[in-house]
Amino acid sequence: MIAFGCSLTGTLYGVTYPAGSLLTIDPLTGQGTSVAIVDVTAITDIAARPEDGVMFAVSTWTDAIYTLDLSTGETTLVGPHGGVSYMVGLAFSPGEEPVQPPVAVPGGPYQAECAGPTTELAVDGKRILRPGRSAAGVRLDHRLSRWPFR
Amino acid sequence: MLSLAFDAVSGTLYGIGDDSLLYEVNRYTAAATYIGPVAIQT
Repeated sequence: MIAFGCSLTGTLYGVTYPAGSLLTIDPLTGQGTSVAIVDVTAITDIAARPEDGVMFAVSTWTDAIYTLDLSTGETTLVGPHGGVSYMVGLAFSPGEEPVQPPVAVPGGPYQAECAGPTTELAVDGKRILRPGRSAAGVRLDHRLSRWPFR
Repeated sequence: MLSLAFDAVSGTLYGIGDDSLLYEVNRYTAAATYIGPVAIQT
């Protein structure tokens, strides 16, 4: 298996090579459960689009990109990627849309809440708030070093 | 490692090694912790 990816909801998927069996994978044990057979052979990687969770796949048989239905294994051709043979990696870059900074109360208790499923927040590089978590009362003693919110 | 996948819900990075062995990968140190083989149950 070469193709390996994660949905936005935290489910791990793999596609066996070259047969194209689509699996869900238990992240605690590695146990794979067959979901469907992908209708394109030689899938070498999959990646979920952060904006909407659509899973994409690349095949070295056709040198093309597809969307992949995670329930049925059906693919829809997006198009040939062109110019590269045996592409085995597929990934999305971080989004560039503006982010909503956390609300700060000058000098007072600070409250930050993650804005979405892929957000995280590091305060002065020390404290990381993970997706869905919030931390009321974190005092803003340090500047926000980064907020890769999306 | 043949492929990596990031679980944004848990913040966990996973990797698939040779022979479909599953690892959890520390995204700060790159240290990989073996989880188990991806045994396929149909």
